[in-house]
Amino acid sequence: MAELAFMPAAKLAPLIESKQLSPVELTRLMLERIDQYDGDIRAYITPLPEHALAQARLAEREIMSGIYKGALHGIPMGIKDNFYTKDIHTTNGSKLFMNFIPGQTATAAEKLLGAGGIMLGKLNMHELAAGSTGTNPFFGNTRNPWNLEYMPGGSSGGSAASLAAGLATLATGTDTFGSIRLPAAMCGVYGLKPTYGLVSTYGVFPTAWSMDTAGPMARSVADLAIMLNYMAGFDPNDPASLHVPMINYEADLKKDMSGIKIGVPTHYMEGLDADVEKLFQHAMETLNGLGAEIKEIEIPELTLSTFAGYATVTGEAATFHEEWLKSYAEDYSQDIRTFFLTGAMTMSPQYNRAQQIRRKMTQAFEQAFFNVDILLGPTIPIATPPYSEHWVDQNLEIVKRIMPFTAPINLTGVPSLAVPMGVDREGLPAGMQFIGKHLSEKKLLQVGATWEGTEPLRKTLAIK
Amino acid sequence: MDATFIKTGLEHQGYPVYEDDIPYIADMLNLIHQQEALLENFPYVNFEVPITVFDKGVIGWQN
Repeated sequence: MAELAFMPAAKLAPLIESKQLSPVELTRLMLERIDQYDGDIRAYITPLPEHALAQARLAEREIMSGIYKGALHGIPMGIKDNFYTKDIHTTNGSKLFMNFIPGQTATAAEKLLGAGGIMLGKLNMHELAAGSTGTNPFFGNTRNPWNLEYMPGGSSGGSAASLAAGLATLATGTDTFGSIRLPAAMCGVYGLKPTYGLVSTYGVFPTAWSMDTAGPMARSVADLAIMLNYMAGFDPNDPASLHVPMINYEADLKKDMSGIKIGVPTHYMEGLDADVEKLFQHAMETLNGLGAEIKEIEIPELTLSTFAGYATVTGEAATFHEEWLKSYAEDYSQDIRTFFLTGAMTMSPQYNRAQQIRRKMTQAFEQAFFNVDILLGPTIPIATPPYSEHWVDQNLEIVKRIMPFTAPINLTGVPSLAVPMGVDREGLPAGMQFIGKHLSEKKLLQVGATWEGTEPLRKTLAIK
Repeated sequence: MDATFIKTGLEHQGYPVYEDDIPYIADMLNLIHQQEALLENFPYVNFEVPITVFDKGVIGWQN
């Protein structure tokens, strides 16, 4: 039975459709696992066993009566706790919103659940989606299932950990400066940060409006494609929502990557931890062997990522949180409070300069994509660390390290697919990201699926 | 970044000040300031039109 808990949705769906697998039995299995393991892992803030079983029974009745809604029907999933869910606690990982119960469901979550997805519960996250480790003093630190002493990454730490531990088949995430990709890297799962505006953020707590994206997380690329098929699409309630044609993101998953031109910005090869560097070198050789053409490229504008990332994220977050910071400052953890207050102390010209840099950086990316199909870099420069007792310092230090690797994607609005690239000497996963031009998700998923075929997590660091 | 400047700046805006927070805020402001200096390599950034939030919902006639 345990293998069902780790089976991708793409393989579960045909079993459910053909009535060989009961959504109720599958959901019950996942709930039992949550009961058994989540005391240690803390992937969930609010498990919803009764709700999930009711949804599963409904799905089962529908399927048995010949109404099959598609690949998500009867599939168990976790929803990150910054997505509004009607009549269900939505804490945003924060003491401030501990008792908040929305009257509506976020559009992206509604699309997944409306397609028959079974919500197992609301997933733990770094407070207010603004940190990178997975600590949460209010709801408990999420632990990395690969080693419970280690962090899962954040902010979508509960999402990544639930997938790695087989406590959800699919999960939602959000990404403002790396929050889907970073925990995907640390937990050895897959995550897609879509083009800005492709997936509605209506009903998702904002962190920094101009950088926020919602996206899918899963244990396989095919599952990301399935989720994106439902999550993508125009939403009149989201001012940033894009009017783009609906496409089938699963269509090219079986194509190979021969002839694909991959550019590796030299920016992404600087400041890497030794294990990350070795695994990345090995990954580039493997990609070469798969038929991709790889070359180093220069994008000097990337050196401005840290400045523009901090100025934009802290500035916008400080704006959203201003009144709460003034009245309920003690309800914030120190790492998040100081991160946001930094935004209150930056100057308007710095914020506007950051927005000028974003245009320049976007132009530089467009220029790069004249010569290559996709860009490649490690998701983050660091190996997954164990939790430190000095968790405030640790989070702020990790944010500083990862910002130049993750923020350029949000600053420019391009999509990025985070994939595992191997396991380091401590036995923890490391990841890399395929970065594409705007709305190139289908191409990224194609390349990602080919890469997944190399079974990257089986290639541990024999390169000791 | 000077601690007094940060404390005064926060107080002036109406934020409560926690002494223990100041070194962290100073560290991040210093980082921003230090990274901002890299703009020297991009002398004409000031001519770029900032990416601004002016969406379709605001421009009614496009809907």
